[in-house]
Amino acid sequence: MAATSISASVERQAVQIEEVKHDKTAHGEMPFVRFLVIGGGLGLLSLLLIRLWQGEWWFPVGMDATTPEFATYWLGLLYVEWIVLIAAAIIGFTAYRKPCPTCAVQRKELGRIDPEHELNHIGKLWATVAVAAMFGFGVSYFAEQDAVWHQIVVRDTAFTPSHIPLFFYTFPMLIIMTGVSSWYAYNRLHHLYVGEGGKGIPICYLLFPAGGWFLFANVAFNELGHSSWITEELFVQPYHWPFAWATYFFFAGFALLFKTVPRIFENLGEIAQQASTEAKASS
Amino acid sequence: MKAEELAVLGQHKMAKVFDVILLLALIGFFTVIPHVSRMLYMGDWDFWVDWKDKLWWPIAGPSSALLVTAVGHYLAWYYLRLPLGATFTAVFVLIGAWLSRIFSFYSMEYYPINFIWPATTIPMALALDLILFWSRSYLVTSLIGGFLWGFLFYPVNWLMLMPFLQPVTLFGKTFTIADLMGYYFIRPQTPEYLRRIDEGTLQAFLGQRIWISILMAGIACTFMYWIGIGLGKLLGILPMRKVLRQT
Repeated sequence: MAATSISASVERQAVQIEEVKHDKTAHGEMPFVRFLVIGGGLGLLSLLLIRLWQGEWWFPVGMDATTPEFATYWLGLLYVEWIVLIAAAIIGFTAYRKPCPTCAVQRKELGRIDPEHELNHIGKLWATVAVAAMFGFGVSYFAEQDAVWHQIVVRDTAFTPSHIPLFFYTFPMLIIMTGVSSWYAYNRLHHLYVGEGGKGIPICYLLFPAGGWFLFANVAFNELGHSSWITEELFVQPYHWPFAWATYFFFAGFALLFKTVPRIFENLGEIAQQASTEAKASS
Repeated sequence: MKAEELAVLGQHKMAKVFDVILLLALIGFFTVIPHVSRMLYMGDWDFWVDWKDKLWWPIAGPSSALLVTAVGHYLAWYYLRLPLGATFTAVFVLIGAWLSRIFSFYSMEYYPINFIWPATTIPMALALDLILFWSRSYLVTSLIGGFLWGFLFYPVNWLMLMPFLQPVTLFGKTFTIADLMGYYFIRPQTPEYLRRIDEGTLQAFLGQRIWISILMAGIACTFMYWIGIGLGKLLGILPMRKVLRQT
């Protein structure tokens, strides 16, 4: 009985290894183009819906934070955003919390990672950076919108209709998405940054999410400044400048991306070579 | 890998997909970084036509705009050998600014478009990229391109600003059209301190004072170009090589 069970297990493992060797679509996770389309699409949709919500409700019920309508429409939106943020963080960080099992099997059985499989990982890393960049676009839009909103309405709360999408959605989403990029690079492509078997944490893993974190951290300083020193909106005032300094950390995203470029070409070269060998063999 | 091999691999379908993803990432980050930088340093000078004065706007405007544009210009040349980074950045920051002006300033707050147009930097960005392309030297680009960036900012935008500087008399007082618009479209901040500057000794230079400002802007941008290069190197390139060792 025991011998039959062991034999079945070995057989199953052999089938799995064969699948990994021959099935080029066995990525073990979502293909990167699909990830980009779904992630980018949902993100863009969320930004458009928020903008439509603002257009509909910020003059009718967004001018006085003490009214019950404000709590219903604007704090309601805030809570929905928080749910989306928590869900995105949980999904993003738990989905990639362990190194790729397919890579482990391929390393063990083939002595290397299949080029197409590794390209999918690199593509996924690039896709996470692109989705983060899309939320960056949202930050850019909502930040300037905040500037003009406070030209016409004096702030009576930190949760104004322009702050709710800016400070409490796009800023945290940038922290999450840039964090997921670094997390993904650490758990899937660490060997490209520190070499096979290498140790250490590349600085670009830390600097890239630091941009979102510093943006969010400066919200506290900004609100303190507005509540204590300068209550009107003068956008060029110096305590707004750290927001600009924080965005400079996003340049580290390019270090994160371009480190993988040589490997993309190596993998493409191998794929092209395999294809030409297979073509010759079949002819 | 040889250049010919790279060129062949660049035609691979997968390489094209990577190109598209990179373009999306570049569009996103080269909109947010220069746009936030610009709105917080140039901010009100860029938002409102009555803020576009002859002293601070010609200097603060191009200097702050060049800071991040120079990073885009440098990273595109360093990583991709493309003399397009400054132009790319200038185009997307302008698109970002116009989206904001149309869908926030105009369609939500009802400020008229001709009161809130953003300044353009595209002509100077083209010059900056071309000078780097021809000279292959950051030094030459900073001295000529950086200077032109600051020096040409006011003349390039003058075409858009000129109609708003025409005089108009109302209630026995003479204003510019830009001032008059500012009085009608009240905001928490108005450029009153600029009026005091206009009454200062710079006024004594009469018609020459804009030349003094744009000359200073050119010199400031020559230096600002290097700050941008340094920023790009520090945050966009060096982190690729540096690894914190675990003990």
